[in-house]
Amino acid sequence: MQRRRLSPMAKAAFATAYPLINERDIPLVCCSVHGEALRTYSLLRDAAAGEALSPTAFGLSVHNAIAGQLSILCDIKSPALALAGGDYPLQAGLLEAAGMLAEGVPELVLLFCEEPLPEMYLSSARSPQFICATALHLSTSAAGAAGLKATLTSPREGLAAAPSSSAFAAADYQLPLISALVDGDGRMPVGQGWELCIHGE
Amino acid sequence: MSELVEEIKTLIIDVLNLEDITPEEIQADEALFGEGLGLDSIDALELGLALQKKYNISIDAESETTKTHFASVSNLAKFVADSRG
Repeated sequence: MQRRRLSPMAKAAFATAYPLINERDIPLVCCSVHGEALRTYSLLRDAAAGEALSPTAFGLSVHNAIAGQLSILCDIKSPALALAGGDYPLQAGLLEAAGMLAEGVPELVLLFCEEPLPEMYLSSARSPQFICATALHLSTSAAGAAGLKATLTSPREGLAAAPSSSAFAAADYQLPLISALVDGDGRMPVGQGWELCIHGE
Repeated sequence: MSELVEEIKTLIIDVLNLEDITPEEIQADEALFGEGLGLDSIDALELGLALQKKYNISIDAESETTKTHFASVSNLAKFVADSRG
């Protein structure tokens, strides 16, 4: 009954995160630079035209709408956090996740999602051409645990930071992460000198 | 009146984006909220807005009778017919 309220991007986000949540009460970190931009834009157009605003669209236009709906529908009582991430969403999401794991959270789901932007925004931000959602199930390393390893490294002093593009200029920031996950191996700059390395044993 | 009932059923499905439900499956006298169709308070706001737009009627959110008007499709049809006068 609630599926009808989900935007196409929210459906993509749910489709990727749901199997990882796997009916557990697990913390969520949901990261999206622009959030539900289409919903927000249509509300702004209605407001400009003096039309009454759709209560559903209004309620679901907030940045934590996807995190909120996901936690309600999956009956998650653990913390659910929504981030924008600004220029460097991968850095923001991964640092937040690393912080939570370092503080003793044993596992969490980290989600990134974006959708094509309304044309009006294209003078200040590049738009992804398609809806894209990536979900990661992250846990602190346990001996013999299956799955890939992820290492986040901080900027090294004296070394020039690897160049990394702002998500406003490179909207498909999830793609290097997806390729590394598919290949089971990869290294990528995530912003401001931070680097993510995906590797096997 | 039965035409209005059918129109309101279609309106409910369209504005609330009800998936996999046809107008025939909505009983005119069944409860819209909680039980029956299982709509919630956000749906009530959305539906109220759609009715105001489509039929140019005003709905008093504070009024107790509004609750009765929204109980079922047939009540809504009566309310719309009376309000349009």
